[in-house]
Amino acid sequence: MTLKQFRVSRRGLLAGIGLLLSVAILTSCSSRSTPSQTSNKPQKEMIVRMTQAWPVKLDPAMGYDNASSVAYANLYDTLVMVDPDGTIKPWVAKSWDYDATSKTYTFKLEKGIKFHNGDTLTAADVVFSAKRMLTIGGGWAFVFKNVIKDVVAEGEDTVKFILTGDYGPFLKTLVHLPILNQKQVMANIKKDGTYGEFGDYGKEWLVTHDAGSGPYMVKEMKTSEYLSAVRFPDYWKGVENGSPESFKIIGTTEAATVRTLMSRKELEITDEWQTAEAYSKLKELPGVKVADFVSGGLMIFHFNTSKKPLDDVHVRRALQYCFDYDSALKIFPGGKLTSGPVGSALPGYDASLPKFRQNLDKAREELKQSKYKDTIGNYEIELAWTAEVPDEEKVALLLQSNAEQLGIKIKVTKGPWLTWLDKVRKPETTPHIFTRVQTSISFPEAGAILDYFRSTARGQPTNCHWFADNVQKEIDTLVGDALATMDTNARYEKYKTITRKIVDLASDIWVVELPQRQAYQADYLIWPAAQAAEKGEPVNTLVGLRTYFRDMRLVPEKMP
Amino acid sequence: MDLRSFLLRRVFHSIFVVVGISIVIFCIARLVPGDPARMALGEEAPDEVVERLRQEMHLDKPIYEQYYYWLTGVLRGDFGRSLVTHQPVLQDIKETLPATMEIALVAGVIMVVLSIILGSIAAWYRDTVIDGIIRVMAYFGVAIPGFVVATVFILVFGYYWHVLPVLGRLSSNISVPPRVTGLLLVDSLIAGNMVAFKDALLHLLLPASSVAMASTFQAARITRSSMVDNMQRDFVAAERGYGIPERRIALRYLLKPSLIPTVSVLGLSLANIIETSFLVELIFNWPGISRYGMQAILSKDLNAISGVVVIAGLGFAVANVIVDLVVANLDPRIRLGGVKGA
Repeated sequence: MTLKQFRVSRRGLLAGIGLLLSVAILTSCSSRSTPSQTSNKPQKEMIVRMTQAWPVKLDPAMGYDNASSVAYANLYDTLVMVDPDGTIKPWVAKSWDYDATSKTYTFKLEKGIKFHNGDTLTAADVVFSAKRMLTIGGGWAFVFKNVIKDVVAEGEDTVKFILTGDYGPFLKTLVHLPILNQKQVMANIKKDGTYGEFGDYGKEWLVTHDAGSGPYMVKEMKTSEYLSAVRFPDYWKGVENGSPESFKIIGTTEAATVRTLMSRKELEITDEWQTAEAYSKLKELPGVKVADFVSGGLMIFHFNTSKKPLDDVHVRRALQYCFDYDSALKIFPGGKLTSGPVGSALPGYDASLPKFRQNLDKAREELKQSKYKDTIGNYEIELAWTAEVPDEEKVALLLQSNAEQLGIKIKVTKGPWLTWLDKVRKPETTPHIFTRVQTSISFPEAGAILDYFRSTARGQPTNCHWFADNVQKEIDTLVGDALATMDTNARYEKYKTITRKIVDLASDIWVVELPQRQAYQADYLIWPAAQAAEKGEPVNTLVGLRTYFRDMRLVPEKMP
Repeated sequence: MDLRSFLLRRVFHSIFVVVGISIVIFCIARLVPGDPARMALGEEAPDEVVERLRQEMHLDKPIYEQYYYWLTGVLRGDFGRSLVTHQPVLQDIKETLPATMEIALVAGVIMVVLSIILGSIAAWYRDTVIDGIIRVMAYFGVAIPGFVVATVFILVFGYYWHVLPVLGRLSSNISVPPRVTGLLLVDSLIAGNMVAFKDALLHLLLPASSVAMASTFQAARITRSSMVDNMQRDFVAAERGYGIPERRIALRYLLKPSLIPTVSVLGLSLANIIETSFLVELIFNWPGISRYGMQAILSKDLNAISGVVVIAGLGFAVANVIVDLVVANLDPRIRLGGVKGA
């Protein structure tokens, strides 16, 4: 065959194109509305759809982002639950006690809890889940690192957690330990994995399946598109009338898409990553409200205290005083002034501390006390912000402009998160100031934030302060002691002492307490957490528990 | 040169191109700062766990050794495992590639039909108001990026008019046809599910149009320019001299030679869709390979990056071969020259 012989019939080609176009035009024209409107669905679909940053991870040993946390809270059960006010209530564990001598928590489990595949939940499943998470080490496993020494089952309904020492917030951390069905996971392991007899520990299977007993179960997981889940009819806590029959987490945060879907009532809850401008537009849509969840998240400028001139506390305080907090609040609507590293929503927060405000006179006074008072102009301070979080640039430029009034030169540098993740691992490569948004809280009390100041977190974005060794040692001792305090009130008092110590160190500028904002269809979706936030009542600081679909109600007569 | 030799030569060249691209990307992806294992496990994952993952991924080995492991895996059909989706990369590619191919197919139809029509009209009515309007439209069309077009389309057809779907490949209330090719249009036709076909087509219209916009106008401009050039040629004057009607000259004798540069541009534009449509896929939450590749780059998902680049390279190579064949079919000088070995 030659090239000459290789010919496409022009008429054939044109006929093909014509046919395709005709089909396209005919099918499009025959539709007067979108498919969702013309569907032959018998009833209104009782579904709650939300957008989220992607991907959602179904494996509790792999994810700790907001989207995955929402999935865990709804697909799995945990031993205990935490109420919005921080109190712990029984869940799979109906009771527990703690033996201070052996440092052991003993949990008695509810009987007859069924997994989604019909298997019964037993103590062995709890042990398996804990050991699996600790072995794989991803997700929220870091919360349990150096805390759990061993986990053992005693019979079908008793589990013992042997701790390495006293650990006050332990019960609260258990909300990050979803219980998996051991039999189901082990039946789906890949034998050539890296975990010995456990193969791949079911990691691949859990990408698209769940092995839980929660109120919803996975219907379909499209790893590049969405997670769809339906109500588990045999949920041991019962099925609530009016609660959503299904939920769908859609992997997009694109403003135009989200706004369009909300306007068409094809989306019930938005993600929390929209810009302030986008939320104000969403608010204008009929029936849509924006919930501001103040949950302990902060925008922070971390100081590298090992670099000149920030090794001088007076320079750090001067920067704290010169920053214009009120202008920052305008950048983040719904935000609050800060008084230290701990957000006001977290139990153990010290309400007696004064809020930070700009005070240029005090800033100048501090600078005068500094050893760099005559040479401060010789230093160029690098202020790094993360390219993936555009709002950080606004506050970075604000600080740059504020510092100029004191004669402090700041160079603003943008970089991808991965770059900063690497750079903050060493004091010499950590920028003078590193901008970060604190969103995830590992357990709902102040200790979760203060724990980041320990040397165990050194070299991570959460702790790139590089304190002098004696300072770091003192913080380690204080935080370690507080976390080891089993009496809740005494522990909270210790948190307050540490908070004051850290404020005194001026380790950061706590820019603003950030609300996590989500728009929702308030006219037909009853979302208790959003309503509580609107009334100023306590809201669960853990995003997963706040987005518990079983507690929500859809009002069919008001649905489109 | 016969067709077989021609094809073999192109395939041979393509292998070098794809291997070369894979080496370059493999090295660049590893030299960019950032620890992929740390990224995958989270900033607070224990160091020993991160180290174990680094060893699993051979990241503790020299880069040439890492490439050896990767290449031997690829030759066995194993592109490794994605750090983001935790699935084999090949499986991810199988899931995402058809979605992008479907956009490319519909975009291709839009590009071919519109560019030829607009280019021909502009050429036929050259230097008139009609030509001017089409040329101005073309300037805008070429200058506006696909993601801006996508956003405007969403706002117009989704937000204001509510006439077209704006999310994903299929409505949630439509049953997905059994997977045969992964192309929903084709699979729904095979299954005889016209409801799914219609729904899939409607879902495709906005993303495919957004992707097609710039290339369509670019090709229209090239078609116009080529046709205007050819109108001055002697063969057109001769045909006029023979009294052949203008319409017949245009459609039968002028259009075909004028399409040669257009075909080259369109072919390469289509091949480029894998690399360039990620923002459009993101906006429409389209589960395509372009979006998957971009997510891989942002997450430093090394295996996924290499896998996508190889597929994109292969796609480009195949598109080049097809373009050459079509051009040869359109241009007798190339065919005849090839036969003579000139």
